[in-house]
Amino acid sequence: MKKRYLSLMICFFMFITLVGCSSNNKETNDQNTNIKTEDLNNTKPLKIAISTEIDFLDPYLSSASDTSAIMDNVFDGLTRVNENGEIVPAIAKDWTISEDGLEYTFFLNDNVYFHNGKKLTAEDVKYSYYRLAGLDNKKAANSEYEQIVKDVKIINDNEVKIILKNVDSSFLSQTIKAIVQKDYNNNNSLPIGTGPYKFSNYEIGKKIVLEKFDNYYDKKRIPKIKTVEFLFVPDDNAKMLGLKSGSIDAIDGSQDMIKQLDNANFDNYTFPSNTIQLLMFNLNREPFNIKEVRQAINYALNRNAINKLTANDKNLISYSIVTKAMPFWYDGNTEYVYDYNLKKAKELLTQAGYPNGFEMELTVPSNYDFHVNTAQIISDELSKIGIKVKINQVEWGVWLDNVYTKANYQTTLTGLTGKADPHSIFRRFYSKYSKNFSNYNNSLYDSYIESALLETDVNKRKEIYDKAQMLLTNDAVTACLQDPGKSIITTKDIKGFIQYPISFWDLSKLYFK
Amino acid sequence: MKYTFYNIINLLVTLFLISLVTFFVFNIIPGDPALIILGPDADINQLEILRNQLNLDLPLLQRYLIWIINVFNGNLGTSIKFNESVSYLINSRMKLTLVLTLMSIFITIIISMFFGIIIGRNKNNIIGKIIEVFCQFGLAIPTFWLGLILALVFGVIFKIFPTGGYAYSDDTSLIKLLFLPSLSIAIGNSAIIIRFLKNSIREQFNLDYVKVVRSKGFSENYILKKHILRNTFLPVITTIGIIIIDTLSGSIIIENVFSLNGIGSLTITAINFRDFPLLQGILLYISFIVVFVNFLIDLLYKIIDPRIELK
Repeated sequence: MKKRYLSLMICFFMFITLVGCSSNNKETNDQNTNIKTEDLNNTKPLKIAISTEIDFLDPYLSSASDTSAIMDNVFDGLTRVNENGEIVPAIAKDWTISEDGLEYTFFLNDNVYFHNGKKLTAEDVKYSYYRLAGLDNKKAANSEYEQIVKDVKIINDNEVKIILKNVDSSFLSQTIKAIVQKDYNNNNSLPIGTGPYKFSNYEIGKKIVLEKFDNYYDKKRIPKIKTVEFLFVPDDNAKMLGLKSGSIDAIDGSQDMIKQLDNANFDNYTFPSNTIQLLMFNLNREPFNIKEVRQAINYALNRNAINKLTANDKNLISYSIVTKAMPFWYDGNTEYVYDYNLKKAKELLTQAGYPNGFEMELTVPSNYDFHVNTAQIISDELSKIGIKVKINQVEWGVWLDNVYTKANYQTTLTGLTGKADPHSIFRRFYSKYSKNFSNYNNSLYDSYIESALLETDVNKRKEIYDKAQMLLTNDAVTACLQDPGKSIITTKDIKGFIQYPISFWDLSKLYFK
Repeated sequence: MKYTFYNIINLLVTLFLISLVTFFVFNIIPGDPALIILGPDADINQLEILRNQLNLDLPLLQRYLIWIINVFNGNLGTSIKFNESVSYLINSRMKLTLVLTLMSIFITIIISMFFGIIIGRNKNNIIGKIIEVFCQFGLAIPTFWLGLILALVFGVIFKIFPTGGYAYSDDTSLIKLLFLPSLSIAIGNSAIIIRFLKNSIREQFNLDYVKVVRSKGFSENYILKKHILRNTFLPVITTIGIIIIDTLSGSIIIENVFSLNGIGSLTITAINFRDFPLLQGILLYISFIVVFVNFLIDLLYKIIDPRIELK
């Protein structure tokens, strides 16, 4: 009897060792063969673990910035954004803008090929913009293009003219939108673009695989690594374990994760993400309709303390809705308006008629740890001036419905994502904008936003936006806190990460050391 | 025959009631699937096109009725989030969950039979006490913590097993990948079964029939093997049934810790994205599993103890 159990146990342990040993053998084999860098780039797939799954492969259906961060390697636009946030040539090698600012003529590169081998022509550009703006008598794929683009004319195979309805200085930054192949409707299952990487396959809930495209037109951006896999790993611990065990080469992470890692074995990069985390007030609700109350909260928030406990990088603190990821547009003067000053905050509260403070509800989406943590610090900070914060954690879908769509909230913490052009962030407080859920309504601010769009001189436009930033700050429409920042953690083997003001994994620059 | 018929009716009624409850819950919770999929940066036109594509502009009651009609035609519908047929999604996740369940049950049975019998026989000596202490640990330790520790020790320090991550492993190494997750599920479950076995064996030892056999001069080993084990299996099988159902319907926590894509993570996605057809499909699948496994266990009862009649 005893022997039988003993043999069972032995079987069990043999099973463990057998299963285990097979991996050991494989690893030693890898170490023994001394592979050169060149071969490594060709043979070893780069594995990057990211938190969120992509929403749609079709660039016209997708709206998540995490998706475009990947798919911008597959699709190219007429132009693209470089690491300094400037609009630079991509499919179009050059362009001219007419005197009246209504006609944009793009000169296309002659050697642009789609991943299925077809050559890109002006027809494809026309088709793309017709679809975006709904000029093909179907529903416009994107209302922004519908409002701006009047017509697209083909001048010759390599020249296209886009005619606008009215002057719009943010239009050029919108030409980064993907160009798709004419009459090809299958982009959501098999995307075909002209980018440096071509789509290989996508397994739902698992990964998306990209392969180097050999016929890419921009010789400066020819990829080095042959295969790149983006793996969807929502759990932070799982990501870290994968990185430590060597099954993953890079992950998108946070300051917390960097702290936990041994820096000798890993590289980490932290940079602004062009997202502004702010404490939003619903200006239709009491007492947040009173300017003094909002200013008092602005004075009472110790940005340094909040930053230290969350993003942990002083450079990321921002008092303006434009973050330092866009250095040209950022107005540094906003930094000096609200110094941390509890006495002043108290005075303002008394002035507003709340000498003993009040109770405030702070709604936070529970899936964003970053916001939840910040809420707790804010609660602590505001208690010093008598404001009792009740943190209300809601699920993301509920937040989108109640707070974002219906503006049914008192205060909330959120991150507003900027795009290549500052207009996308400024319009959030434009009274006629459908998604202005702060309910800010100021005709002076509206006039700034309208005139900035008409202004084609970039320096004059910057002046207008500076005024708008100051107005938002003085009115204390929100309490801007910081850019949550973006962190990438990689093994020491992989080099070449570049920071972009928009969400973008520039794979063409990466290589194995 | 009558028993099978009764079970099928039972299954159908359960399925209908569950789908009705889901329908009501979906009516109450706020959230627009199109907005959740596309996120706050979505363009109005994009949202409209997507809503139209997914039939989200129809009222939920109508979508529910369409769903029911489709189900009777053997079509579970299309997932809102993944734009893929629900049956395909469940099937693709089934493989992992099925292997995970089988492996964890296998490990559970080995561990618990071995220790349960030892502890049952060694009533009051030191070995029994030690095992009992370990059982307490097994019961008290949360699975997610155990999973993390196992991943850290065997995955990161010794590098014997992958730290999980269905996403970053090949299909060929499924057994290896699922070993640590199965072990972490199995340890807690084994502790439960060992306690059951222990109590059951000790109880049986004091029963009259054992005394009779003992008085005939048979050895304790013989009594245990030939008479007691069969009788102790009944409560154990019930527990194993519950564990199988639990694991097959998705071990949400363990799947998360090891980033596996089984039924559990699919359920969470379905809820987060207000994916009505997908969640209905999963619940249908889970209820089917519950009824089916219970049916199998009833049959097993009959085999182990022929006195039991199925009604």
